[in-house]
Amino acid sequence: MRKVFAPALIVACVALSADARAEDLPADAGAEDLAADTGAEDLPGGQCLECHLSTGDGVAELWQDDVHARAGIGCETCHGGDPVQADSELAKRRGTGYQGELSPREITSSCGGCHSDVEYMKVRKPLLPVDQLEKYWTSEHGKLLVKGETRVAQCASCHGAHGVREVNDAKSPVYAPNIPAMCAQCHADADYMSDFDIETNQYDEYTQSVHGKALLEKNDVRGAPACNDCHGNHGAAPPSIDAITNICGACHSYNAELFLGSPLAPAFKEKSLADCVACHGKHFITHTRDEWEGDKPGATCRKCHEKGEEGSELALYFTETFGSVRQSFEEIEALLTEAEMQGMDVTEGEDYVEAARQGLMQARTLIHSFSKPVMEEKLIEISENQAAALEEGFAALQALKDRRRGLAISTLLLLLLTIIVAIKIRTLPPIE
Amino acid sequence: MSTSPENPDRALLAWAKDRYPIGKFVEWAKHKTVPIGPGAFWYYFGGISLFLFLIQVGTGILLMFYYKGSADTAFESVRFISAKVPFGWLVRSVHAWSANLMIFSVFIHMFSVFFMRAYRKPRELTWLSGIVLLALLLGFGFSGYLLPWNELAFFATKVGTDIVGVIPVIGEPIMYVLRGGEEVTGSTLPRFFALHVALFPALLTVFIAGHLFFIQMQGIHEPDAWKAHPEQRKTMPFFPHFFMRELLLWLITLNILAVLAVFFPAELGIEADPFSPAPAGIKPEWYFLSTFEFLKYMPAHVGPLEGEEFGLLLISFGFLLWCLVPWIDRGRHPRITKIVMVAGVLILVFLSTLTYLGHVA
Amino acid sequence: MKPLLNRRRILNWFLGGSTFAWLGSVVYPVLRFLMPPPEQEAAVSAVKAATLTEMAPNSGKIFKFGRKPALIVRQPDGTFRAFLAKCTHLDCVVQYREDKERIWCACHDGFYDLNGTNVSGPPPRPLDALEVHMQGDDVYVTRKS
Repeated sequence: MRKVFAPALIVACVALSADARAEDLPADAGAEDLAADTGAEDLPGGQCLECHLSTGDGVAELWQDDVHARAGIGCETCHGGDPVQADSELAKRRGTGYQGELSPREITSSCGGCHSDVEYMKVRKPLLPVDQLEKYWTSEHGKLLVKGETRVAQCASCHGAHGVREVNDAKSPVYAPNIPAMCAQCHADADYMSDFDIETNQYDEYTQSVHGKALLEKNDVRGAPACNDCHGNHGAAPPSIDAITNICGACHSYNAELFLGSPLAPAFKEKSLADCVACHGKHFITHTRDEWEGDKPGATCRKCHEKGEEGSELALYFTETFGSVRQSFEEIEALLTEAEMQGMDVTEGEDYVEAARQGLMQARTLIHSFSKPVMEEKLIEISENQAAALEEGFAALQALKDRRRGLAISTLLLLLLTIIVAIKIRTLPPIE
Repeated sequence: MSTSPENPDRALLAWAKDRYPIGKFVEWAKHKTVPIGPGAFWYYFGGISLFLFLIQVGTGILLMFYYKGSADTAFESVRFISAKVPFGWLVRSVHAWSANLMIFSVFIHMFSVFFMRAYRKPRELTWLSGIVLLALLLGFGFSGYLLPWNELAFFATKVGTDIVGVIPVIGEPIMYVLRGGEEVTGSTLPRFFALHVALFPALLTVFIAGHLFFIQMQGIHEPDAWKAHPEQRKTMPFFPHFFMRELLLWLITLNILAVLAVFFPAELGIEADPFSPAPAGIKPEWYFLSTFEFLKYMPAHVGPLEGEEFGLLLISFGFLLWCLVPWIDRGRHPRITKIVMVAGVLILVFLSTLTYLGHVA
Repeated sequence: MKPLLNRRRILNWFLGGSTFAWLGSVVYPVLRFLMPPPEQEAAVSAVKAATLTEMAPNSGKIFKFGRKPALIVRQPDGTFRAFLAKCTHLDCVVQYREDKERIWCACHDGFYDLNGTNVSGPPPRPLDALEVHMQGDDVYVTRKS
């Protein structure tokens, strides 16, 4: 029943708001942009702005930077009223369709009125998708709103109301690095969330995760995911188990591919385990560590595999080999540093280390195939590079010894020569 | 020693004597003497500088066997020398250390000449040619520093040539020619290489020849006191007495170089990248530190001049006075002599302090 | 007189001998220096990356350009392109994906087209391109001039 109701409502809303929206395209968008930069009086909004600039409600100020203002859309498009009238009574009189603050439901239909209209958007912002509202109704937010819960996020909660900026504008609340804090405004607020059966520690966990650090500290805007990259933005909802491998696999595609081809994929399905999340967690995803594997109690693999089982044996193999690889890196590093401190050139050794590190990174990915032969092949490659690096380090230290020995020999010979020349000087005829 | 005519050495000598005035040379060498005054020890530093220069020529030629003077290859070729060529590290490190020691020993030589007042008539030209030699050596150091094409050298060259550009009127064109363009780029490297291995060595050879020729003509300066008390005059034969001692010092110097090369080999750092931002702590070589530091203390503007311009003007003025010392102090007025000597001490203290400040900065 | 002469003679012998020995310790390094080392010089301006026969169209190969890993791709039309193989996102080594005819970074699913332009995924900028020269059957790669 409700499922039918929601689309019907959208249609109704669109039809309603169609009357109000700005039908005229700005005559000259360039000139409009220019005007927007020069002063408030040139912005669309007419007499509404005149008053609201002095009322101190901040609406008119925010409007200065709004993408809609710059596109020539006036206040009346959402709020109705008569922007030509200088008198507020007249401007808001009956029959002008004036409406002050919009309710959450009204906001969705007001925004959606234009943004889901393919024909309307095609002319004005052709590259912008038009499915936001459609997706919104599939989100938890949208579903609750339909049920009458108004404390959920709607368009303005995330995008703002009068200072809407483009998504790639760093000042926009929906610019990737701003998203986590924006979502956290509600989702990290235990009081606010108390009526909803949902945790409030996601933001905290996320900020400590690899993804949070990459986005918020290293500012990897293109690479690191914010909340919306996994949960969806307009269709925000907790991902289903089936979706998880695809979501993580959007970036970690090779890991996902290996996992889905491994014997673990069907086993996880059978046990209804959430693929990636089952081992890595969700919001608090940290760098993997070798101790995760192995057969110690508390190790990740031990969650399913009893000690002595085949799976546990494999886990033990992984943890032991990775441990020894890591230990070798420490030895190599110490060796090369020692040689370098003494002025030896160890760049070639460092190249081998770099190659081995790339190999280790690939090996960590190959864990997801859960196959010993696949791993063995990669480990041979790593150990070859490590051996070459070690050899470089030892050769450098040996060369250093040789240098000092050579110096000692030459110094001894010189000492001999010095003594003889000194004696020779003494035997010279005395100075007159 | 044997004097038998069958000795092939002697036969060769006789052959040569028959054709060249060797006897005259031997006669001259026998009579060449070196005064033994209170400052006789300092006389050795001229010879040590010469020896270090010869080492520079030798190691420099060796390095050119492998060095590739273009921005694409310079850094890797120097790394190749240090890491792959047998004893390449030794040759490169000796070249680098010898350059530094040479400039140091030339400074000692210059100040010892100054404090012994050896610049006075008739040795004015020896003094001037010595100053030209010092300038050339500084040019050697500056141009050679860039050749490994590492980051530190790249930015030091940028700063150094910037200072040249400050000179009014001629500064900009000179900087443009030195850099081979507006900026220090890959085009700068071949120019510095040409200066380092062709122009400067040629000029240096000419001036060393002149410098030595003047010394040969006029003999080594004798202490002033001997004029009043000829009975104090004491000399030693150049051959073999002085020569043997000098030789001993040369050998020890060479061994010091070897020790430095083994325990403190020349570093390479990371390759220059003209598009990367300048790293922190860019400093010139120690012999430019005092100038660098001095210019840093200049105010932004002095009258109509920019601070750096004013600083350079002061330095040029000081340099000119230093060149003119033989004419300022001719030994006729003890007061002038005293002032000049005190000024010399002050300059030494001043340069040392600035260098130290530049070093710790 | 005679013993003195003898002493001088011995001294001269010693002087000559030790001079000779010491000179050896100077000349030996110089002679060794002059002998070129067998290894290929590290300073590269051109590297032979592949041969024409070795690479089929629509394939890629990792090779060493100096100290850096590089990728040479033979495009489906038979021509070659080369890039430094470090992904511009987090420095992983990229590879050629025959199925997509694109260059791929396995770490975070970054894609570059065959011009080296970053077309999808995290990479923030294009790969550093190298120049390819054909010499008979050999494919040489140099720095972009």
